[in-house]
Amino acid sequence: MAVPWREWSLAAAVIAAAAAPVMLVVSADVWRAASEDDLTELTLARASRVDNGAIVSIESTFDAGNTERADAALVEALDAVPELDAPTRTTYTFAGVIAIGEDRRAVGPPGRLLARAGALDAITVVARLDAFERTSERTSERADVRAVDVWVTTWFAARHDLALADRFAFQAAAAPEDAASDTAPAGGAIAELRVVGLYEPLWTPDGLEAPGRDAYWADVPPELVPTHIAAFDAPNFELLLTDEPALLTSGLNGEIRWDSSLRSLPTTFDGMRRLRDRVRAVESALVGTGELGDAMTAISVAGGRAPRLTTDLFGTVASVESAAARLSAPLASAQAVGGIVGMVAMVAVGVFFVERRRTEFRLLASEGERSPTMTARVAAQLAAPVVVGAAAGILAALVGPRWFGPADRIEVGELVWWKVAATAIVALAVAAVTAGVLGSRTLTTIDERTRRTVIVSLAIVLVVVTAGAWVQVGRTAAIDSESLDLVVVVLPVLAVSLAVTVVLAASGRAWRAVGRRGERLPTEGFLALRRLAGGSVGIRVVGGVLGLGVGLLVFAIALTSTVDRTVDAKLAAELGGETSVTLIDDLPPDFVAPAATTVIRTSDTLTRPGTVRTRVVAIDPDTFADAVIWPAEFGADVEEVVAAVSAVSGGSVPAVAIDGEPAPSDGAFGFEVTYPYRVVERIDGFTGAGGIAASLLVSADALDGLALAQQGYGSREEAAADDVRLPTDRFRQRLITAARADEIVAALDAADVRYRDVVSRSERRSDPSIAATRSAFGYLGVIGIVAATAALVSLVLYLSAQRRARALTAVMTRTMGLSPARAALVTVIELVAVMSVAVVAGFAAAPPLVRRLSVRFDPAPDRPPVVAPIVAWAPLLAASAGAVLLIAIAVWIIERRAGRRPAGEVLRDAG
Amino acid sequence: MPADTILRCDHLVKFYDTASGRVQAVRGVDIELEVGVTAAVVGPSGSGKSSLLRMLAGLDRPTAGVVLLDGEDLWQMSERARARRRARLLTHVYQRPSDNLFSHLTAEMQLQRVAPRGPSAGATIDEWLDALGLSHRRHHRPDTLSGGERQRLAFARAAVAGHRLVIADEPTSQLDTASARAVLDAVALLAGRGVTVVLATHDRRVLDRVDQVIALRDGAVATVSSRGSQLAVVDRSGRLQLPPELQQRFPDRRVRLVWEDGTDDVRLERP
Repeated sequence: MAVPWREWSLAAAVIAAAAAPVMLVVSADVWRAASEDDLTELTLARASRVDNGAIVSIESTFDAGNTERADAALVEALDAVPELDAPTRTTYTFAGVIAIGEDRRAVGPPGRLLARAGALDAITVVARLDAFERTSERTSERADVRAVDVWVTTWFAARHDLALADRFAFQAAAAPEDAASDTAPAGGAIAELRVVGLYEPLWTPDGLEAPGRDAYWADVPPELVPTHIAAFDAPNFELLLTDEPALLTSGLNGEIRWDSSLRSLPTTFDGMRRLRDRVRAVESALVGTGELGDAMTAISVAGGRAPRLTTDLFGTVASVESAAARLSAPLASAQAVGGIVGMVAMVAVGVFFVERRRTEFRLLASEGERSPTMTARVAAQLAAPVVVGAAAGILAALVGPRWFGPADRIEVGELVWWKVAATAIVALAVAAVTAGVLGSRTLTTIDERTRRTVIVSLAIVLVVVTAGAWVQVGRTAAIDSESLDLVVVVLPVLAVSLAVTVVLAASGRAWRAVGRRGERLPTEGFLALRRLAGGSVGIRVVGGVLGLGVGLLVFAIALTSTVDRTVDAKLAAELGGETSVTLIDDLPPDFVAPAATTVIRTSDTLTRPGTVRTRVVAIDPDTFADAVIWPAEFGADVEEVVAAVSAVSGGSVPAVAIDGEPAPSDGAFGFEVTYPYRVVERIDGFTGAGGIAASLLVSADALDGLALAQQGYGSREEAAADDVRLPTDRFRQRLITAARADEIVAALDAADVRYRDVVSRSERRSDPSIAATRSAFGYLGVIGIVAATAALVSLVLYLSAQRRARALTAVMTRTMGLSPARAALVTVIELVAVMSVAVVAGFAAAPPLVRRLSVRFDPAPDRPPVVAPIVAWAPLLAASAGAVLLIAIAVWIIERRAGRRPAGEVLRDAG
Repeated sequence: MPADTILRCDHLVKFYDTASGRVQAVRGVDIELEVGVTAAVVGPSGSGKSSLLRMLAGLDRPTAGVVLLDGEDLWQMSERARARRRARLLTHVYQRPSDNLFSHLTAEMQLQRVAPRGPSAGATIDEWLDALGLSHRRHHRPDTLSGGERQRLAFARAAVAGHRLVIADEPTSQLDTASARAVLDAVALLAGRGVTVVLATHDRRVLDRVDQVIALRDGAVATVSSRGSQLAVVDRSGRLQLPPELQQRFPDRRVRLVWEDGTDDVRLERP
């Protein structure tokens, strides 16, 4: 027999509570999907559209008809991949031997015949045979020998004394050249070539592009565009341009290649995977039994390599999938935690339900109804509001990640519907079972000993599990997102819950102690104190949930901020700037950098006294400050540090050391030759420090100056004249620049400076491990917001449930002489006190947790500086104060409404 | 246990563990009630009335002692069996009238819930509604009934359900005189039909209408009065508890017991 729904408060409580677990469970999947899409966009934005497109190539014995057939089949196959551009075909021979003259002597460099749409229009033609001349020449001389018309460079023509209409022989290689082999590949077919045009080379003797070279050649595969080799004073090959029909009927062999760049980039993870699958399908079709496979077979060389599709796309997708997989585990853990927190809300619904219907449950129990029947009864009543709550939870799950997380659109398709159904069913079961069990016990009372035993047991379990998690988390200290396991995600919830519980319990004792001596307080304060001393369990539970929510939110924001700052600070110490490059050669004096640049020189040596392994970092004082990224966590201004190490006096080098490291304040470093130093300042970190026991920052000028003075030289040039090397000449060089990686690499290449290990700060910063940490703990913040909101709603509903008792209390306080407003103030003081204590407890629990966990996610724990937990106290305190103020206002309104009822009506209702 | 005894308890003891320590609420209470008897349990606040009634109703486990309801020890059976026995034999009426009824059911529906299934259920319901003066209120929900009507309806539930024992905790404390009288009339009616009614009360109006008055003091039975006679309790240690008005006659707290062999009469004389 159903109890009809008449109470908005009960219905609202059930709907809100049912929304919580559904929202938390479902939004984790939405959050994960959005994060995957985010990773996809980030990765593809940096990816080359050319390299991640499709390059189909096949070794071919050129044949016009079959080539067109293969072309048509490939175009049709690539139509199924709308993200790819229409392919551009390039037909070329392998580099082969050119033989000139009547004696057909072989000349260098090798030649390569190439035909590609638009190529002949993208060269600077110097001279050409006109059409009449070409036809006349063909019919007059050597008409029996069919020649392929080619355009050669003016350089080639001049070198080998070739003129228009001259002929020469060309033997293409039968297979691609193998750069590692000393022997030339075996020869292929031989063709007679005729010069019909001369064009300006595409290269310059400096090894650069020819000035004014058509932009067309930027899209041609670089291995098909000749470049000048200084050692040979010649290009790597002579590009013999021809038109495609001529090449395809030449009888030569080579390779046909189709290049199809990415026209559009997928914006979603699933879209990227679908693109990968379609490209794979094309790859399979190349060697399959369909039209494309047959067409490719028709133009392939017997015994040659099978047609292949080359793309970086598969690797790109794999890297995104790998990063996304790292995200799954921690988000799954956070999802589990969210589900549990949400189910706690449903337990509260069950408790609340029994409280509101205590009389009916007691009567049912007295009639002999047992808990399974009561559970079924409650489940039938709660089914409809749980369904409504689940719908609300779905809506919140779609909107939440959009507002608070990585999503920038709402995707209904991301929902995992079976999880929605399972969560709603479990939520309903939890509430119904709770109500059924409690309802069947409404006749009996739980004695104090049993109650205390249960509470103490739960408390012991909480303490032990929290302590275990705390120890377990501290065991691993490296940025390893595989270890972002359930313990790491659960620890914040456990620790904040424990802290809030302990503080609320302690505050209860404090209230009782103070309450005994509160007679001198104003009446409102005294009554509020007595109520606090009385200790309403319901209010403390609600306060506890609010404290948990606030604590989780503060923790999540603080941890993600701290991890971000730690990464920035460690990258500043490790890389020093936007890009870091290890130099093999010295920079030339006239090196022009695209942005502020400096070179630091480092050496690992020993300092004495004490024989401490030390890294000496020698900076260029003129350029260091402008080029490096110097975070506040280093603990000193960069200009001051540069000035400190430049202030040379006496026979020692001024040095800056790291606070807490064992470098002696006065000592010497070096091996056979030692250089005295004195520490003028100790700071928290600097660029280049870390990795071994101690680090010292010095000025390269000061160090070299000391060495010159020690050896009696007046200048570097004097020492160089005697072939004496200064200490920093032997140091490792690392270039730090504010320029992007591609910019500095281009500049170094142009200056012919050798280098290795180019590391970009932006790439390191978007490491998937960092993204996984940020995402998982950012999600805990969502749980915190939901918990805090649930607490506020629960408080309002609790007061509503207690309205009969509170109305009676209001009547009693009125008989004591308090006005309704002052009576309401008593309740406001009581509740604000409990909520404030809980919020403060939540705040206080966050920083130690952040410190514990941020160490675990430090990307370079052995590298300074140590970043203190960052808690945005001001905005969070303001938000918490705002929440408590909202509580106060809501309570005030409820109590005032309760207090307005006539006393007689209240007393009658109580009867 | 005699066949006409519906409820008996022997040496009931109850300790409570509270925040401020252990409290003994009931100290060795012995009670025996026959079928159709009305009994009032009286005593000052804190004398153990509510604790005693809860143990008799099978709602609170005694620390020691036995409670026999219709010959079976309530506290030697499982929780499930006890709940079944309670549901079959016993109605508990609470002090607040609204706590005894389903808020959404009419008077008639309240009785229909508990009436045994069968063709005579309707007649039984009509009989009791009529007997208790509630016929004209049969289609009314509790929020439109007076306090006295609600309490009478609560007693009617017991009668319609065929229960043999009603335990009521201060059922008239929130009622006016007329309503209280009507409730007591209902109690008498039930007793006349063989239902034993035990009432915890402070209300003197009740004392004049019941068969027995059991006075509790400090958790123990001080006196048991029947109509026209008053009984003093001799506890297991042989101590005799005199009513307060008799105690005043012996300011020295010494009495001489005078009895004659062969008789059960004992006289108390000042020494």
